[in-house]
Amino acid sequence: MTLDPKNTLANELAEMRIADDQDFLEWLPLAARLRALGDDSQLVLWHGKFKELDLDERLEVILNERAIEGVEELHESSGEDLAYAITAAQDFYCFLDSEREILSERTQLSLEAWALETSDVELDREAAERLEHWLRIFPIEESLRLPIVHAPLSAVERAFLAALAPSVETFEASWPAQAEPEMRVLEHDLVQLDDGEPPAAFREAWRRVCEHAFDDGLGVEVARSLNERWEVAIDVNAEIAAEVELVRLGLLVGVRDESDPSRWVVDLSAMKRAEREKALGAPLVLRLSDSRRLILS
Amino acid sequence: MPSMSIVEVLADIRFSRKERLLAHARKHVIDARGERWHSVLDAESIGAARDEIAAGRRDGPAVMELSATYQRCLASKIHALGVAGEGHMHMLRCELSENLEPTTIRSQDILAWDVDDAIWIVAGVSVRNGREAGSPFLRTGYRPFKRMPKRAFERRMRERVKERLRMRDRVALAWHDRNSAEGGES
Repeated sequence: MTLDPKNTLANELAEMRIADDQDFLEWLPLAARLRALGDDSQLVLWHGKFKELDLDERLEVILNERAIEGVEELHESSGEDLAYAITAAQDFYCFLDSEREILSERTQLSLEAWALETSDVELDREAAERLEHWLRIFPIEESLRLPIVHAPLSAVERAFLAALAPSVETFEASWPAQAEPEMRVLEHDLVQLDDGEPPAAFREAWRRVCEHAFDDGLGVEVARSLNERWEVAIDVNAEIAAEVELVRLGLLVGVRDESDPSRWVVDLSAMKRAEREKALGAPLVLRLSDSRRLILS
Repeated sequence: MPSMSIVEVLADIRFSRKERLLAHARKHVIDARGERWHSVLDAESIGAARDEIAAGRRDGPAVMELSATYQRCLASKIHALGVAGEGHMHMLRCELSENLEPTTIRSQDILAWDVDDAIWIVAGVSVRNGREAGSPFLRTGYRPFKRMPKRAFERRMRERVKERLRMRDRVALAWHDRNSAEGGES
């Protein structure tokens, strides 16, 4: 008997019952993987299947949550589980490649950020071996492969190669130390974060402790501010803004402001208090087009 | 298709070596991001172990105590799931022929997921000549997600199990999960 991954996967997909959003999230990446193997017979059905669930307005939320879940899994897993955390990112990258034009910008950015995050993952030997095996079973189209899937290298192999080539640089910096008055306002008002608009005093205190972070190694200046609609604006100095490929507040991806190319916005308005609190305290990550990265915490 | 009897884990199942236990406790509990274990393990013990690590002690008393507690927690969970016949599956790891068909059994894995505390646990037992060789041991156990709805956690754990089965070198023996359509023995 010869292996035919396309037929096996197509049969599995055809038999899957989709009753809710979680079933859909299990089916969708496999349909995208099947397309990457040269068979789009399932993926073309995705929008119809989603509409049948009557969840159409939640597509963005569901996919964004899945991307956040995926990034968390990349960081927490090891061995075989890590390999499959990466193949999940690979599947959704295939979906993004196929359906980019009908996805919202925020969803595109979330899925892109998830895919990009795989390049920061350090593989152990088992994870690298399972990824190699996965590619043997599912030889997806080469142009769609994430680099870590195309050439999975364990940490030892990477270390060897790192000695031969310049490594990607990560710069870490801190926001300025909080002064006593700002601390008092921030701590006092933190309890009110879910009551309507954020208080003006809170926003002003937060702006003061979040501006003009400066990192000598990169030449980047960054400032954060919070408006009354619970949107965090992240401003980067104009000289470097064109080189910024990705801005993240924790796991939340910033959307570049259409009217101001040096500003990114992270929308916290739909979040609950605990999530807002976490987002406001999360490190800010900037990735530049040459893969250098700045982490501000 | 290769097959063998199901091996259930005992309540005192452990990691195969102290070094493995320490490595997994370090990665998944002590170095874990966020306070993901605080609802399951004692927060003060985690803090004490972190302090020891920060002071350069890799296997000090607090680290050893936390690691032992972590191991007992995983053992208790996977044993209870086995007894209840819920949230776990038995799967064979096999060698593959040239045309990617499973041949000789190398081990039996027990994959378990505790939905209430969102913990994923993997245990295994070596197999020789179609029979278990030695006692089952813990391979890993951790909380992949800090906060996740139960239904989403079940979906992701199901995906992990199914992805293993798609690799051709795994054979499902029994799937004990009342919420899964795949439940039952092969």
